[in-house]
Amino acid sequence: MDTQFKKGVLELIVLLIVHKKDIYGYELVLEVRKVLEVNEGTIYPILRRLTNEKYFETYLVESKEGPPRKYYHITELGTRRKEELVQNWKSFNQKVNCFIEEGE
Amino acid sequence: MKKERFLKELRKRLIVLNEQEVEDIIKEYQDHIKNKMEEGMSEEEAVKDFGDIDELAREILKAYKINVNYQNSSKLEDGVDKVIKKGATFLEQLADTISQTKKEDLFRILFKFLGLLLLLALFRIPFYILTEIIFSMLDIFPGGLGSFVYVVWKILLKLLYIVVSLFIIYYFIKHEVIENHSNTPPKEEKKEKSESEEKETKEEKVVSPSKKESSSTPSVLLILFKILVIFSAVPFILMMIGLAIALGFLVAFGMQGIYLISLFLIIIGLLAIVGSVVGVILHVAKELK
Repeated sequence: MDTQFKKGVLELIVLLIVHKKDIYGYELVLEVRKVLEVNEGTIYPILRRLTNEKYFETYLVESKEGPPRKYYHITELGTRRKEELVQNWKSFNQKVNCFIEEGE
Repeated sequence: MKKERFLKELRKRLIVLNEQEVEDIIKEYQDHIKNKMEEGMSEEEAVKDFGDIDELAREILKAYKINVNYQNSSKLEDGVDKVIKKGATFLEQLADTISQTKKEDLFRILFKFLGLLLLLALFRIPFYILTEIIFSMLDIFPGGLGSFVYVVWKILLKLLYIVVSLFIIYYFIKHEVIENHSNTPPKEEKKEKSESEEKETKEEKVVSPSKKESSSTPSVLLILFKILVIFSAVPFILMMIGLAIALGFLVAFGMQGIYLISLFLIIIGLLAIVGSVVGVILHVAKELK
């Protein structure tokens, strides 16, 4: 798939996953990879960006194995952003589908 | 790349961010690699999954709205930059692995390297032969032109030899020293190999397939043997060409009314013999591959 396109979808997927439940970095990467075949390197920068744009908050949780984990939690702003992207995706998807059906 | 190296390199690229942020990011990547290794992945593989480190650093900095304009430099500069970077990482990798290598291993590699140098010295012989052939052929040209062409030809051959030798040494080091000590599948190397194979001569191709095999001492012997086999075919092939030309002359004479039946028969017989010898040698070479 086109990388630019993937990046756009990736943001939506990350927002959706964090919206479902609070999650830490590595677990999120595993979740994302269930849906999208992406380079792991691209996921962390997106997490960082979304955090810097105040869509996510982070907090530390002690873990049994190893150092404390940083969990991501979606903010009010993040939820709104998620809704917006979902709407965008749906209308885009619908348009593309219509286009495909016309062609057939 | 090892984890420590990767984190160090990443830290270097994120220098513009404040220290706390950098620590935070580094910790995240550290955890990720640790998790991957717990799942049974090797350190190198885990690092490799992050992709190009420059690209990664650029993405991270973008998250802070810092636009590192890598496109600033011209394409040529970019290319030169890439070559230098590649060379630098190659040397660093080399230093990395040599420092981790055991003494016996080091001796083994050194021994193989000496063998390789010997092979390269032998490898000069066909180049000499080619040079001399052209020299004798250039006698047809009048005076100055012939010697000029000869000099150009000689320089070209020398350059070709140097380039091919460097390539072989480079791949030898890469394969023997670096690849041997990391379990990473050499994906990138394959890509490079296909690029370089276009440039390289057939001699290099003879060497490269064996690199895929296990890299114990017998493989060096195998390479030596293959090269010997291939080069032993050279005089026979040249002989065949010479005989074919002679045959052509005889046919031309025949058309002008001069019949040299006995010579004709001798040449055809020789052609058949030499041809079968070449066939056998090529067959052996093919089997070895």
